[in-house]
Amino acid sequence: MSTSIIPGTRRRLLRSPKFTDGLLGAAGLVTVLAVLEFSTIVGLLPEKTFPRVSADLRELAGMAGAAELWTAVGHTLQGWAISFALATVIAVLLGIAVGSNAVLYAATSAVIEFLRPIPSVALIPLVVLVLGTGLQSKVFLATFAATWPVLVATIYGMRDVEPVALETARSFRARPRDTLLSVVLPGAVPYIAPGLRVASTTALILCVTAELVIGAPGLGQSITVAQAGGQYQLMYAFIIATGLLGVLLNLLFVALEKRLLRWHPSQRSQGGVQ
Amino acid sequence: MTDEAPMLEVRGLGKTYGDGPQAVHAIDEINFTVARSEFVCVVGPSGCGKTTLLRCLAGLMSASTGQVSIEGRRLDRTPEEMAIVFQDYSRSLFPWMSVEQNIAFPLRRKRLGRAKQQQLIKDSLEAVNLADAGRRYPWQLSGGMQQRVAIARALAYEPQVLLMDEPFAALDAQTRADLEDLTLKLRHEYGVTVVFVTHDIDEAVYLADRVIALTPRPTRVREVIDIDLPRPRNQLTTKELPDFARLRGHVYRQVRQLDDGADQREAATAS
Repeated sequence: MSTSIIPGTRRRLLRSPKFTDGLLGAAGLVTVLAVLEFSTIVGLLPEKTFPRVSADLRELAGMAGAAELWTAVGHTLQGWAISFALATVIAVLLGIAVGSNAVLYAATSAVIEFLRPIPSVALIPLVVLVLGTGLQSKVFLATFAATWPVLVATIYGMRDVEPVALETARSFRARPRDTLLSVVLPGAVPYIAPGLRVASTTALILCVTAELVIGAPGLGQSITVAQAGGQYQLMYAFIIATGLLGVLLNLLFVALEKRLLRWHPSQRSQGGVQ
Repeated sequence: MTDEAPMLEVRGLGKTYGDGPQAVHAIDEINFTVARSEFVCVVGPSGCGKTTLLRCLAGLMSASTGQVSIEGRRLDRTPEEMAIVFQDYSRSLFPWMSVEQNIAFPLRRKRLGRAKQQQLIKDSLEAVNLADAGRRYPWQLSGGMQQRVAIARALAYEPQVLLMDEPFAALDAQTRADLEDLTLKLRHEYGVTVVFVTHDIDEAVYLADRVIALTPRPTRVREVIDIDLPRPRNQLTTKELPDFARLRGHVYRQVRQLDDGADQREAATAS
């Protein structure tokens, strides 16, 4: 049986202060970096292909003022932004249509379930053939991949609207447009927001993949070029930069989700009476 | 002609869910009328189809037979003159909207102009003693306050008929008493017709001009009881009146389907 005298005390000590979480996270990161650094120093990892982490970071810091890095970041972000925006608009509109119409839902769910598992990268040869190796191909691949999480989330969200809320709107004879925009869609946000966060990450992954594989300009292309030139520290610097970009975008979306869902039980940290 | 028509008329209303051997005969046949500015409580034993009746009255569900009319017009959806207060306030209020936005939502369609709309919101919040809560969110308020917001939303809609579906069933006794008195005060101030569905016999007798007692399923009207208790009513003095006890006992017997000797027999077997 439990040995704790006051139930919950132990959990509270470990959990409540936010800075403890942050501290633990930082400690974990530092440990991983230290292990990598140490592995290279003692020769566990060959220094040629695995330069010291500290050297990679120095390389990245050195590039912070150079246009090369920021141009690459800019290209990648441009592709990400266009495809994320396209995916969001397509998926939300399609999701509203499919989610609010039982016939359309029945007619499309098989198509969606067939198309969704296709890995975007499998389309690369086709896309290169049709659209070439530029921004268009990158945007097509990333949009294709990023549409699914938002589409599926929107459909589920539309179909799981609180019936009492819907009935309330109906009893006040709300116009369909008001019901959709002010009751159904906000009620679906708890589904859509995590979908958007996944889509953001997916779009970034596909942009970088397109740059790596088909050579569209951006961080992915810079990584390949550095690798081909044997500049491994540079290659790692770009890889780390790509990772940091992913982390930043994710943080952005976590914050956005918190803001959008501050009314939702999952996010209500304070102010509730009951 | 419409002047003479009752505010609300229920004629030959019946409801059966499904068909064939699985059919559930929820409401057999219900007839009653509600006069303008009248306060009518509908009580019945648990599971007697009160909710079904209310949904038909509200135009949220179509009846299998018979009809509901408001001022002589047959209704097929919730009429313009009607507002509903649902039991489940936490789901009926939109949590992503502030209190003000919740109250403003049904008004959008009416295109009242900003000043008029703001005035309605302000007045209705004052009427339910929540003048300072406009900027807050429903989930930041207690259960009783949330139901007051829902009542304010209904009032701001300027209905002639207020339909309330067991609105205080989820609240504690103290809050419930306060909200009963608030409802009586608002009925007096706004002159609105109220149809109040409840399973609480004390509540029904305390609030109503008339109580409609229903039978178990398939539901019919068992009796319509005039409540001639003096107004204004008071939680203490009204409930101390011998007439209150008599009416309460009468409605109780009707709802539990006991004849006058049956409760004594029941008491005898219980002891």
